[in-house]
Amino acid sequence: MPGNARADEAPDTSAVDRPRGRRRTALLAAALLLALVVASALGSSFGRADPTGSYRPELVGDTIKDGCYPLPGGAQLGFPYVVRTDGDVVGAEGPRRHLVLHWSEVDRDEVVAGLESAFAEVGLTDATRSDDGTLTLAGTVDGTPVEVRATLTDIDNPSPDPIVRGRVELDLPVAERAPDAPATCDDKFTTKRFPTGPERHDGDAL
Amino acid sequence: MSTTAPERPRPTPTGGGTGRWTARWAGLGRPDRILLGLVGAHVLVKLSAFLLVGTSPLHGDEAAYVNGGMALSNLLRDLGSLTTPDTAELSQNVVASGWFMPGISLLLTPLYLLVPDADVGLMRAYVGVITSVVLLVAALRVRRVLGPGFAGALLVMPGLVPMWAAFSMATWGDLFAGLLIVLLLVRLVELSRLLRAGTAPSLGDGVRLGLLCIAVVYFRSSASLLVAGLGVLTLVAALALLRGRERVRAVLSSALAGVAFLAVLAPWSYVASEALDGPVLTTTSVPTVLANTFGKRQEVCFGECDPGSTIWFSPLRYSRETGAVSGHTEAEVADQMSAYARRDVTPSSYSADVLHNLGAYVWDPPRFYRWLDAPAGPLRAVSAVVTWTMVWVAFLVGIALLFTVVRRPRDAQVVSVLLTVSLGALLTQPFVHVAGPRYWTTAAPVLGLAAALLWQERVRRRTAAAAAVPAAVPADEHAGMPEERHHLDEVWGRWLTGLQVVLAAATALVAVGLVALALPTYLG
Repeated sequence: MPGNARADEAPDTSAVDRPRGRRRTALLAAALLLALVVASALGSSFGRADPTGSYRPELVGDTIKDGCYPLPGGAQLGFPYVVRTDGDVVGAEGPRRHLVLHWSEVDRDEVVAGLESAFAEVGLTDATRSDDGTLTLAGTVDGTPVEVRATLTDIDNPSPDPIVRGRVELDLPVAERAPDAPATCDDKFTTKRFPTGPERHDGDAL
Repeated sequence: MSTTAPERPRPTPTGGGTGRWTARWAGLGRPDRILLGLVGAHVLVKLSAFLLVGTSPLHGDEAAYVNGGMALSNLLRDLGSLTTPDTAELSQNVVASGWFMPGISLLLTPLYLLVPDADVGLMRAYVGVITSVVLLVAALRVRRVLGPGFAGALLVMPGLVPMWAAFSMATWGDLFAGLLIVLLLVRLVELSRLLRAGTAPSLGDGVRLGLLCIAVVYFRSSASLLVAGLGVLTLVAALALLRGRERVRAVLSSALAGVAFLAVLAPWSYVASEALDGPVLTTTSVPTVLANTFGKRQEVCFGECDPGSTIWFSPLRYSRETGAVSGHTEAEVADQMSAYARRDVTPSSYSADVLHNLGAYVWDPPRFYRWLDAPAGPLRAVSAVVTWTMVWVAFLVGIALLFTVVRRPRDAQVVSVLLTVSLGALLTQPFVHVAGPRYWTTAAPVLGLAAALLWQERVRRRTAAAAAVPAAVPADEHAGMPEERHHLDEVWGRWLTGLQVVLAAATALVAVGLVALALPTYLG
């Protein structure tokens, strides 16, 4: 219901009644503040609110470090990595475990060396580097012959000082969930074993 | 529309309560009676909205704001009973991941202080009442400064929009920020009158202005641009219109505004920076927002993000996990993720995305009925249609505002510039962020005021045409102003006209540029 009030007809906001309005506002603010202070003092007698913290979920674990689905022989990797996906696939050689990591901070060579030493420690001492970037590690773990293949791909991170630098795909023998796996292993974001098929949904805009 | 009550016989007060109210009503002028009627209508719209969404469960980010309010109420409780506050709880719920400023959480704090386990219905009623009170305060301020026409327009748009009423019971800060923007605009109109008369705002005025600006940002951090734009405009106007000691006082007042702004921002920035272990000024979400808006969503995590979570939480998890193993902050990782996802962005793809966002901004104003689980039925259907109609008309008003150049009176020129800059600043949202049917609630009050301005301008032009004295400067243009300021005021008027022309031209240029740049993406 827009009117046609000309600005020069608009009510005056001169200094005459402003201090009064201001005093009223100040009084109101003071009263509200006082009420808040009193309520705070009494507040604990009403009980306590119980926020869920859902917008800062606790970080979950790491499937390798926590031993949810251990690497052969319980190998631990010495370079900075995060697990991206994990799961079993059926190929020509039967079912194999397909584990994908992203590494950060270090060069490709350090990752290759890190993989070699990590798996050598658990008995996979026979390392072969091929020209296409594949690394094959073979040996025996607990008397069983085991072969692990790692394919390394650089990530073309355009930042001048890149943090995330590459991706490792590990082709491993199928692993069972460890019987003594800690509770963090119940979380799919720890194991990164997601149900196949996309189930992502876009949340509403921030 | 005159603001003085027309003469009418007043019944003698009978002393009884009803009699006094009857007398008051009889003493009101027609404009005020209409305003009161609109307030009544607003209350009815609010009640109907409560029927639709009053007990709807929290949707999405509402949970974050409610968590913040609860944790802040616990903080007050602890302080009140001299117990050590639970800093972990505060960090996890008030700062959380630093995505949102805590304006709404602060607003909710008193509720959860008094009723720690308030159910969602009580919470929605509480927010609904507060937003109505602030709307009424804003309307009263507008009536006082700009006249009842503008106040009426504000009570209609957004006051009578059913979806706005429903959304005012939700806890996103957008709508509340829009109301605070009205208070800010009214304050700036008052200041412009002072400046025109050659008087600097007092130091207290500066502090109050700074506090109002930071309040807007606390409710909607992306309104920072609006606040900055209006702030720069006010400072330039003060420097141009004042001389000597008044100018110095204006600079001091502006400095105090800045200090007040930063003093209120600082605690948040400090707490958020501490909690997230890296510098945070307002919010942390910009990199992921840009990646999701303009980059490839399937590459935000240097590849696909974890499935089974949202486009906000999955990248957050990746940045936190990577930050933890690499010794960087999650913000540093998020920056690089964003740059990676956006490495193929071209001016054309960017423009096409902006146009898409603009579409999402305007397309479905009543969408939140769906998200807030409003029960299907005639009430929701009617509310949705009314919302659609009113908001789309308001969008048309907004377009008209962007291209309207008001040449007189000076006060209307000032209002036009302020509204245009405000709307322009709010419309930068689709240029930086995935847009949705939530952002119009920030712009709605500006659009309401714009409707009044355009109506007033239309009436003025018609009157001028009828009187056939279009070119003459009305005698009252300099009313109450010392003679030596007349020339300066004329120059000021020409600048205001010029600024409106530049803003209109810039709008046209951006619009044409966007379409031209986006064409190859659409055709390709």
